[in-house]
Amino acid sequence: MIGNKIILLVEDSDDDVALAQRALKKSRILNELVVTRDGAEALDYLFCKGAHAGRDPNAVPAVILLDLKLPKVDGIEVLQRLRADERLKYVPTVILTSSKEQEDLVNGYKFGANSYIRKPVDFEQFLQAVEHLGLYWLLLNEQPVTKS
Amino acid sequence: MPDVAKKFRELSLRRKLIVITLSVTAVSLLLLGAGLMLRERLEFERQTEVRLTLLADVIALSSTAPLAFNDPRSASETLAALASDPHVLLGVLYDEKDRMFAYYLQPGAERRVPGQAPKIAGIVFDEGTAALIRPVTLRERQIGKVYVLADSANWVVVLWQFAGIMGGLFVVVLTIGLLMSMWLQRVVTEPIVDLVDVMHLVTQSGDYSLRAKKRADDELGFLVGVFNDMLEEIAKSRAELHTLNDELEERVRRRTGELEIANKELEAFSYSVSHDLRAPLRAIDGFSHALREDYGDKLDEQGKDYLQRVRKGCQRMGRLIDDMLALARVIRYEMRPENVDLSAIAEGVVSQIVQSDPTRAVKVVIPKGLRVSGDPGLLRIALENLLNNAWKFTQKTTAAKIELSSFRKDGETVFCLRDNGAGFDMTYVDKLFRAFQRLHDASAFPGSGIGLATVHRVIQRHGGRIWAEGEVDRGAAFYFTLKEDA
Repeated sequence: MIGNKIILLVEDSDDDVALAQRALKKSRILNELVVTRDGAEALDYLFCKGAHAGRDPNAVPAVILLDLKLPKVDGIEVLQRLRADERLKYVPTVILTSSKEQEDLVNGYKFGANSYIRKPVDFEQFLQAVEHLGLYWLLLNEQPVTKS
Repeated sequence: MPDVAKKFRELSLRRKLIVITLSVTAVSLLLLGAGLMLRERLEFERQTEVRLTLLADVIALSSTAPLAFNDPRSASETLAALASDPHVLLGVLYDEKDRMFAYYLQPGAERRVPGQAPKIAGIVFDEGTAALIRPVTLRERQIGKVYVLADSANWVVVLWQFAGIMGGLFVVVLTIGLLMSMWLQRVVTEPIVDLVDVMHLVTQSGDYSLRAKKRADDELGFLVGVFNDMLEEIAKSRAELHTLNDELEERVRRRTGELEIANKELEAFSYSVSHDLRAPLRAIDGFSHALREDYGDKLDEQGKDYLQRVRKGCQRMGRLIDDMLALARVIRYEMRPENVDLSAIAEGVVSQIVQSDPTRAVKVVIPKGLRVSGDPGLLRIALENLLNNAWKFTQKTTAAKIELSSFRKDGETVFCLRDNGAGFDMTYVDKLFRAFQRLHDASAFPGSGIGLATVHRVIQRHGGRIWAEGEVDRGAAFYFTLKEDA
């Protein structure tokens, strides 16, 4: 499973994208990584619209790494739309943000985030978090089979 | 007697006035009665004297011949005329040498007839009797004496009559006095009772438009006037107070609104600090890491050292931002006070510290059951900072010891966290609780200088005080109080 599923990263910062790519590589998570740079693009990708209109709608990502503070459509709204959709509602979604605000955390869980990782300044810690993430959501966690 | 005085004081004003009026009347009547009785007695004595003197003189006049001719029989006959006065008990005729010559004794009266003439002058009243001696003279020479003894039984009659009249008078006067005082006291008490009623009404209803009725232009009328003026003043100042209060409330509402906006701005600011300031730091750290790992073989030792320093700087700044955010969070945090087990929180914090730094052996003493009223989240932040400080500043101390204790002083509970670590110079004690002020250099004891400012804020928000004592290399003690009903 680990080798053939897509990981969707929704992140507007180039640096964070590069660092996440490197962290995944370091953790030997070699799944295909799709990067969308804002909430609107993420929704286009997930619902196969706009630039992603030709995409196979059944290729649901194995995991979504979602930044909260995004241009156009913010992370919480993406999450809400995701959870409202029959096909996407069970996709494990991990909120990935530098914010430590209580409100973000509560909102994240309220709207159905599966996990929450605070991006630490220390890259080593981030690496550890990503490793745990890969281990848990990609290897151990069994998703319900979606009828689609 | 004090009982009577106390009872009198407890009487209503109306009753008091009646009691006073009646007492004065009764005392006046009694004094008047006593005076009249004295006069009556004197009058009775005078009349008795006149009557007995007349009687004795008549007998004396008729007795000159029997005395001169030494004829006791006719003397006795003369004396028998005394029977005409039923009050005369005894009449005795004495000769020149004061020897008894003849006598008359009222039949049935048991009286001793004195053999010698008693030595009395004028009339003598004694035990219900009156006695009198008159001379018997013949051609201006005293040849004997007449002694008359009468009872004063008619005095008792006079006395009873008098008492009867006085008693009747007493009852009549007191009755009239009672009626009059009951009627007249109203003139005094009615305005006062009225005033008291209005006072009651005002205090109960809070209606300051009520007025007491003015009945006359005397002192009571003046009092009522002053009272009414006072009510008006109160009503006016209450109205002013009300307006002022409204204004104040309006101002508070406005300020609260402004404050809420400021708070929102602060929140937005700390959010962007958290998010935006950390993002570049993360990049610097992450790519330094990448550089070191992926291109480490192309760098010499110094190059690697520089990279290490870059990363350390990033991490320090990261912590600094975190601490600043923690301080901001403490300031705008919504307090939820409850009964908190301070000991349990302190123990939790200590076990966390020990877990993160298991190599050190520090003796930590925390007494059980320190309970306070406060916000558990905030108190945990305060204890985290204080205990972390104590842990940090004892790292160069052998036999390091950290102790939490509490004691009562001046009616409040003071908590104390003491360590035997690096301590500080008391000269700079006032800088201790200010943000970004540090008393130790960063290489010896790293830190942001925000921890104690945060603790200060937490204690402040609990209505308490915090202060510290320390000595260089001898340890530090942090004392704090919390408002007991926070």
